[in-house]
Order: sequence, then structure tokens, then C-alpha cells
Amino acid sequence: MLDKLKTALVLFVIATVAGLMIFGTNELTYDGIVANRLAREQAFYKAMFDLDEDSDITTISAELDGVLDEELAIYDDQNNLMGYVYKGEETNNYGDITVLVGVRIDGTIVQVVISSTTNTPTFVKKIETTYLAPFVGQDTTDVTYDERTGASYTYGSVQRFVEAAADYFQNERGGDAS
Amino acid sequence: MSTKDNFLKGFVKENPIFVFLLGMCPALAVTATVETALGMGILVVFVLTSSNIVVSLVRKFIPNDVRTPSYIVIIATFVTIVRMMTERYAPDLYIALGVFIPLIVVNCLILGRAEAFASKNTVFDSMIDGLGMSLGFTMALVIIGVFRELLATGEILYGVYLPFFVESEIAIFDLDWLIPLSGASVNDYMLPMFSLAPGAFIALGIILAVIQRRKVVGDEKKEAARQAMIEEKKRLALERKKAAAKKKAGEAA
Repeated sequence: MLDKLKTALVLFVIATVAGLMIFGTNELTYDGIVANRLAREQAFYKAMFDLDEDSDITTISAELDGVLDEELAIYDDQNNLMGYVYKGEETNNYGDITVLVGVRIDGTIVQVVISSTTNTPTFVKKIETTYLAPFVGQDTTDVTYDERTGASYTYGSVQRFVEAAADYFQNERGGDAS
Repeated sequence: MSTKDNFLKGFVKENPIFVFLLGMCPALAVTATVETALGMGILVVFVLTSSNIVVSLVRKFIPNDVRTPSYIVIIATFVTIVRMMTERYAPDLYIALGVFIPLIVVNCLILGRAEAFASKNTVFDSMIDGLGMSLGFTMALVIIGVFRELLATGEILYGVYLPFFVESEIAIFDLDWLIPLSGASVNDYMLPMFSLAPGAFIALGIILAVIQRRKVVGDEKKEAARQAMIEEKKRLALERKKAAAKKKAGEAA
């Protein structure tokens, strides 16, 4: 009985110390991590709409139901509406993935970006270098997708988000296009 | 074993990848480029050295029947810490390595050293063992990375910004000078397969074959030298025998 208590006590102490160390590191790094993610997303938005890296942009966010999580209206430093970014997050068979779909106000897809993911990096790299570029310049009324990509789960997620973004833009923001 | 031997054994004699074939998952997955191979190596140095120190510190308090789960918790703690620190201070490396950072937990090299060495030795020796083994592991990753990147792209760290510590552009090596024709690039003649999974297996196979070949040639030389020494000893013994027989015959005459 005493042996079992000793084992339990040792495990409890190890787990407690481990938890405290992780808590401490989280406290130290959390704000920086959030700032890094935000800066990365802002850099994506600026690159999507050809805005200067140093320029200030304004984003107005709206939560969405369904496949997409968020719509961000992007304004430049002159307060002109540049377009919309649709953000979708999901967990596929390879892990988590967050995709940003940028749509100009005339309905053209400006860029599709995998902003963060835990999918297999080799597949993600392949998708990023080969399969995201064809979306650029396509109109939301008629988007064509690659039918034969090997990394199907990652591309599948991208395709779902692009379809949802195109549909949402057409149904909800169609007035802007015209 | 001296401290120097303890440190150096992980580089060649007991190299985790090339001799023990431990930690194959990162060795195959993140060695498509030298930068990611080096990045993973640095993270493993931190995790393996820290976990070896802690395991050695608490080895006398951990009951035998919960040894492995305890080690896993210790290793997972350091991996979680290293993941957070990487995302905070080296976000580009964090993105490049992706899921392979959490997977350091199941790197059998780390649990293997905790079990085989740190649980039986002093804190200092365990720290040296962890440092030597992890640097040997890093060296092996970089060798595979150099081999794969060169074959896949014709470049090594050419014009890249390392995703950690170094802010300036690196320009170590580029094979483009081999193709002086305008408009052509060495990239057009390289083997991109080596940046993908099959290329990783083939590259590792070729490197292991070269190492094995060197080992076999070395063993053959040693064996030949041993045989030559035996023959020489036999010859000397025969000569002595002949000389003794001659002397005996002379005395008899």
C-alpha cells in the first residue's frame, strides 16, 4: 500500500512541476505568440492587396456561421475598401489548418494562403508552391479546382474554404461586385 | 569512460542516426533542406540535454514500475516548452517544422538515452552524454540535409534567410556556375524527388551504404593485417624450429 502511495506521490510531484513549468513558459510567451500571429496575418492581408508593408490597414471583422469562421473587410490608410478576407479553420485528417481567401471588391480572388497548419509540412509546401497560385485572378462566379492532387486532405480543406468564400461573396457581397 | 569519450561517442562511434538508426522520423521528414535540419537539431539539443539532466537528478526517486511514463512526462514538458519558445522567438522555424516539433516527444533517441544512460549515471555525465548525442544527431541531420538539398536544388543554403538567430542572407553554395548558358538554371537539371519522402529514404540509404562500405573496407584491412601478422608469427616460429633442428643435428654430429 505504501509503495503505491509513494508511486502516486512521485507521479503527482512530477506532473505538478511539469505543469508549473509549462504554465510559466506560457505566461512568458503567450503575448508574443499572439502578436506574432497577428503580425503574420496583417502581412498576409497587405501582400494580398498590394499594400505597402509599412502602411496602416484597418480591418473590420465579422464572425460567420458554417464553413468559414470570419470575414474581414480590409481598408487601406485612406479608408478605401480594398476587399475581403475570408478565414476558415478546420481539423482534417492531417491536423489543423487555417486558410485565408482574399477577394477583391470586383469579385476576383487575389490570393489564397495557408496561414497556419499542423498538416504534414512537405504536403503543405507542395500545395503552397503548386496548387494555390492557380486561384489567383479567378472570378468568384466560376472557380476551377485541381482534380488530381496527391495531398488531398490539405487541398481538400483549401478547396472547401475557397468554395465557401466564393459562395459567400456572391450571395452576401454581390452588390459590391456590380 | 572519460568525459571526452562520453561527449565524442555520439558523433561517429555511436551516432544515433548512422549507427543506431534512432530518431528516423525527423531524419527523414525535416531534412529536405539544411535550414530545417539544423533547426530541428538545435531543438533536439535543448530537449535531450535538459531531459537527461532532469532524469538523472530524479532517478533515485522514481519507482521502477513507472519509470517510462515519468520519463515521457519529463520529455513532453521540455518539448512543450521548446514549442512555445520556438513559436515566440523563431516563428519561421516553427512554421517550417510544423507538426515535427511536438513529435520530438516520441523521438526514441531521447527516451533511449534517458533509459540507457541518464537513469544510471551522474547529472554531469548525463548532461555530457545528452549534449554529445544530440550534437551527433544534429550533425547527421545536416549531412542528410546537405545531400538532399544539393541533389534536389543544386544549392546549399543559397540566398536563404535562416528562420532562427541569423538575420542576414546566407549564400554558401550554388551549382549554377556549372551551366553558363543564358536563361538556363541548374535547377532544371536537378532531382526534385530528393526533397520528397522517397528521396529521403534513398538519400539515407546511400549515406548508410557509403558508411557501411567504409566500415567493411576498414574491417577487411584490419583482418588482412591480422592474417599477415599470424603468417609472420608462423614463419618466425618455423624458422626458429628449423634453426633449433639444425643446431640439434650439428650437436649430434
